Amino acid sequence: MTAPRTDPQRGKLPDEAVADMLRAEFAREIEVQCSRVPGAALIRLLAEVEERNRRRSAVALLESWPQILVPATVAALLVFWREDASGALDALLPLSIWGFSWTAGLGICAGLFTLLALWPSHLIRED
Amino acid sequence: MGRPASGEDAFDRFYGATAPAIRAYILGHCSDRDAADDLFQSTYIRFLRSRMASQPDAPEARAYLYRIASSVIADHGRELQRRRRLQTVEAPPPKTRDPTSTLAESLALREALRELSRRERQLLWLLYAEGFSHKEVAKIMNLSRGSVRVLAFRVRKKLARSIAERGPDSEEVRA
Repeated sequence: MTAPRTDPQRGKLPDEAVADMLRAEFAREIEVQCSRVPGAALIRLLAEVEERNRRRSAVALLESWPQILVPATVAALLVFWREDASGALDALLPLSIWGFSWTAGLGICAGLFTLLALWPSHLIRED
Repeated sequence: MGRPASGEDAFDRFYGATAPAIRAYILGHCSDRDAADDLFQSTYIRFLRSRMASQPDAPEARAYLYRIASSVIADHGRELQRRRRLQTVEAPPPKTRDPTSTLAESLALREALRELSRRERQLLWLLYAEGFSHKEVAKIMNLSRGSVRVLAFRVRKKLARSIAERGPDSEEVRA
């Protein structure tokens, strides 16, 4: 480590001396770590395991969401048909300006949802 | 990860060149060695998941790695703060210290460094351990280049004053 000189007037170390001390100190800290870092192969292996776990949890998520979505869609359809009779859909009047057939629309949506929901889990099981 | 063997070689070279500095950098911000090891691994795992993993020889890869490490350290700090808020009564975890660092603990510089904030230490490390330019440090720390210059000047002055103020202890450093 270089010997920094103090400024006798102000009791401070010169700026460049501090920088030199820092460089020497940090270099020493890095040198100490050279023999302590794990091998690159271990890090690559850990990354692979992590990646596999991430994929597995993504698959689990794909498999689980139809279980929630399908009953939810069916429940929403049932609620719609009941509420339709009581005129609750008046709140959605702006949308009905398009003359959209709600029953048909929701039926198509439910069909699409079911298709989308079952498709990935079906694919995964075939894997 | 399905990278070709040459990609693995490139990563191994990059890892060999950066790992000791990254570990020292993390240990400078995290006194718990087990946690520091986890942060170290997370840093490289995140790097390997990034688009930069395919080009570790790129000149900006090192700065990118430091950005990941800084973010990992910051996340860890926030998590610790959150835990401390939740467990106010619980005693703080025992600090496991690097045995080699205890040898140097009496040095005024080390004491002065400990008094600095995480951001200040981070700045000094990037400037003096890695030799990054102000522009690169600004990018890593999400600061403007001007702020880096001013902050570096202030931290150096603060450190110099702190070392000088230590009186007899600083004689050891000066000798």
